[in-house]
Amino acid sequence: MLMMLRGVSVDNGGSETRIQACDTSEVKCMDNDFMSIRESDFRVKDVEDPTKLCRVLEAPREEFKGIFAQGDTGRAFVNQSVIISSQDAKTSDINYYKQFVFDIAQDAITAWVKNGGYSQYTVGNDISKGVIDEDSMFKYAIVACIPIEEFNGVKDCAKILKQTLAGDYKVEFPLLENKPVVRFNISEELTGVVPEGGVAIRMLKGELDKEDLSLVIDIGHVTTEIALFRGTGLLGKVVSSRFAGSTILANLRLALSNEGYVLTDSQLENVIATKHVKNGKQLVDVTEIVETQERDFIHNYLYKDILDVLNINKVNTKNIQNFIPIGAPMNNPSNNALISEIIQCFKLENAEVKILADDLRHVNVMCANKFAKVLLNKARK
Amino acid sequence: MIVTVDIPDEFSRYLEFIPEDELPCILLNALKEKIDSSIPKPRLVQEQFNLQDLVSLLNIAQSTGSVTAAEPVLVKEESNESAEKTQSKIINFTPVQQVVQDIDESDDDLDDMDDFMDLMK
Repeated sequence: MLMMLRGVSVDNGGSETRIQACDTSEVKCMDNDFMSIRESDFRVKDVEDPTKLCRVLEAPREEFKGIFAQGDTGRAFVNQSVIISSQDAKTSDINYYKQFVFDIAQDAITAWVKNGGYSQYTVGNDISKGVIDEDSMFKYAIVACIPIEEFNGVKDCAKILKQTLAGDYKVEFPLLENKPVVRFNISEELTGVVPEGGVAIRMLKGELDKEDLSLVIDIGHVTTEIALFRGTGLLGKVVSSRFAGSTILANLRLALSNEGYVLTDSQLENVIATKHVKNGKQLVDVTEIVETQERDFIHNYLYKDILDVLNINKVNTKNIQNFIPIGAPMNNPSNNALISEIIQCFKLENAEVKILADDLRHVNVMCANKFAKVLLNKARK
Repeated sequence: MIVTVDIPDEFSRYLEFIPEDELPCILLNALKEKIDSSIPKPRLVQEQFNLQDLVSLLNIAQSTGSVTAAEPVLVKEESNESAEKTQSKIINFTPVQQVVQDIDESDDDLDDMDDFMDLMK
């Protein structure tokens, strides 16, 4: 039996899940469009992406077992939605963990194929050559991102996450040729948890003076994380606000509907990114509508939460050295009304705006990946 | 809109000293206060909260005149400064690009992670 160590970082958000393996710079994203399929509703059929359906045969919890799928692959079957609730803490939501297991299984099958998993069907088992066989197992070092409020709360959500996921898993991919089965192990010792948004401070290593103040605002789909750091240390109260990207989308949808446009969520996200909406074959410039909604979002929803963090920590914004925006709504930073409105409202003109990635959705998972590598190195020793 | 209200006998004792011509105005104000207290503050719109619900809510709010813009709350030290809300254009700022280190680059920087490991639980 071959035991292979793998490291990954996972950022399971409201709009999509992101996972990055330690042996690649690629961040794999999947829309938060997960579903379960009853055995009675399943049969082998041609689908667009057969890897996006798996059957969890063995798991530390009964609720993790069953057939799970994502996106168009799942919609090819009668299914039940498995989405993360916007009301519950992620670490209390069983669907969060089901998606997490699915994410790890996706990495495992990719690694299985890459490491010659299919060769066992052609050359036979040959353990002496280190070829994957049916008893081989991936041992995972994982770092997961969770909202700051859960990370810093009274409840030990990090411990809950580690304990909930720990155990041995056996997952079959019944739509792939030869229906491969991957085995993997998740352990508490090799699982780490970091705060969304807050983990980004690591990217400023080497630049931070110990008295430097950095304001991190991470606008996700379901929550917005607001945190202050002095040097590398988290400063006082942090806020996980329920006003986030989905709020902007809802308000923008209403504003555009008043102009006669009825749009889906993905179309709205495109409008936010491009500031244009399709009217038949024409592209209509709706910059003013989009930017008004973004400015109003800061004024009417986030203003008080940001102010709370500053006031409770007794911080004058003129003393803030760095402002770190994170999240899809903060993309295109040089032309972003959210960023400019935050700067203007809170007089952050003297702060440096730190853009930590080409795609600001990926900051958390990429930063967490460095932590995953440390865990992986520790496991190798 | 004209509304006729049939006031039950058990409430008449509360109203007997109110002049008849002032009663409609008093009732209307009470109704407005009830609506105002029932209108939820701006909250995260849930995925199940559809467009029609939002339009209905806004129509109610607008009809009672209870929709107001949020007043800016000033940080104490800046209380002497103007509190006017600005409709701002995009202001000039230069975002500083921090290049994420490529995975293929040396992982020597992992040795520098010691200062940050207490960020992880």
